[in-house]
Amino acid sequence: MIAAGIGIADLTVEYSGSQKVLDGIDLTIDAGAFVAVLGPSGCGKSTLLNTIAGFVRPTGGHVYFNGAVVSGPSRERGVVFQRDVLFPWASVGANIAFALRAAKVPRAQRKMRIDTLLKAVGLPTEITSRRPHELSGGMRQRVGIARALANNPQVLLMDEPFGALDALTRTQMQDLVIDLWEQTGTTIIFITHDVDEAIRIASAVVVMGVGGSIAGIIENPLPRPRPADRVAEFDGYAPLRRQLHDLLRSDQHLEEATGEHT
Amino acid sequence: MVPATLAIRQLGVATVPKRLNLFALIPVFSLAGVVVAWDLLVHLHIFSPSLLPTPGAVVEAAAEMNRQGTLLGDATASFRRALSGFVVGSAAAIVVGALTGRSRIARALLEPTIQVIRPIPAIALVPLAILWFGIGEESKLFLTSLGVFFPVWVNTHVGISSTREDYLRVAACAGAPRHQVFTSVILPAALPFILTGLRQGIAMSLILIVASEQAGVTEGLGFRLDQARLFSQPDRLFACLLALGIVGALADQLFHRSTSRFVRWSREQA
Repeated sequence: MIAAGIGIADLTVEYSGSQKVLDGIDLTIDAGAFVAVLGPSGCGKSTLLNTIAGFVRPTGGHVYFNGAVVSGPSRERGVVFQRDVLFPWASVGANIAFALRAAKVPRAQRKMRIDTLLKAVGLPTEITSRRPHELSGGMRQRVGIARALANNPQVLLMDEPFGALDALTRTQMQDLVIDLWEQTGTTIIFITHDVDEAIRIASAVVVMGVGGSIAGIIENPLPRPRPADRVAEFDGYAPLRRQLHDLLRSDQHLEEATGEHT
Repeated sequence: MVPATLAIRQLGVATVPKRLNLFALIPVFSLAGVVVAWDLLVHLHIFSPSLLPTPGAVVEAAAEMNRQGTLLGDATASFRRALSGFVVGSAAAIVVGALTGRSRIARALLEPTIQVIRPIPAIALVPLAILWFGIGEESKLFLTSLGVFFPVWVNTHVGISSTREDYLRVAACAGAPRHQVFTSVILPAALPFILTGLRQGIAMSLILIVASEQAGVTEGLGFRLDQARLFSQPDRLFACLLALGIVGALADQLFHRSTSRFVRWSREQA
């Protein structure tokens, strides 16, 4: 596996008690792809992301990044977390500067880079000196994205980043991620449990089932741009939605059926 | 016509500060109440003045001691001893806490020993301190720094070892080197715990100073307390207690006020 992008081969992750959180996942994600990973809570989708990030060691199988086995976190794979995890003791600027300092960006250039990053995520540069608690949830998550982008990652791993935001803010944040993907060509793996969110943003949707395996991979044929207020009327939206729902549901039936027999 | 909202706002401006002022006076009233009650206890012969002097007598004794130059000198001597024990003890505790909180090997090596020593009340170490270091200043420094060490160590250890996992993940993703993770993530995240420990350490240092000044010194509030007991001077004894209370409260508040802005974020979070 020498190709650019992410390769996942027979990936199994067990936590203590030998319960399989991920069970034999095979998946290839090309460089520059925008993939949503869709699944009900507890299906192991966050674990999948954490394994790609290098936070979680596989019990079996491997994750490859640009052909090399992933053995730990790396600057090339940036992560945006479920809850924003800005350092509450540090200002917005200091939060981003943390990543820049780690990447050995000279002090003299940091100020300029911070401004550029803030602009890239649609924030005014005046908020540099603000502290996280002074910002709204959406703004905090934007800073979180800016910090993840500070290292110019090749892959952006996003773990249900907008789950806690209100509907309007979520739409704006989706716009931001789509823009970033179109402008930078960064590979994006976006975890969500929201079918409509997956359809709106991603080029392909990986549906995960309760047993920690992949229930199906669906290409998303909808043309871009996909305006939030009109995407539902696009040709192909309803069938795609039904297809994803069916996949999610069929897997649940399977679980219930096997559950009854055991 | 005055718009209703404006009228309400004007009313609000007029009434709110008054209520605030009354509220701010409550501590003054309560303190005054305690002094009056104390005075009555003696004047109504519920307590004998040889056991409980009147507030007036205590103030007189304090003024007299101040004229003789002892009170301020005693307070300074005690404060200096407490401070040096506090600095030595807490510096060692923060270093050890950072080690035991971060390094599994250091924790395994140090924790059992420290856990066995920790339940021993520091006051019980007075005889040991005298045996090892005599009754001089070294003995007091040993006792105070040891007493300060434990609360600061325990709190530092907990703070350093309980850094949120996702903060560490952010740092790992950024590829931050170990020293940057420590100084920019682990240490600031632990700071509220460390400051709590230091505050407990301040209280501990004052307790131990009074205990250790019972022997081997000719200056200090602990020494003066013992003298007052020896010569049956309850007014002086109470003046010393009052001075100790003031020194303790001043040290605690000074520390709290000068450091609280560094950990304001931990209260904003809640």
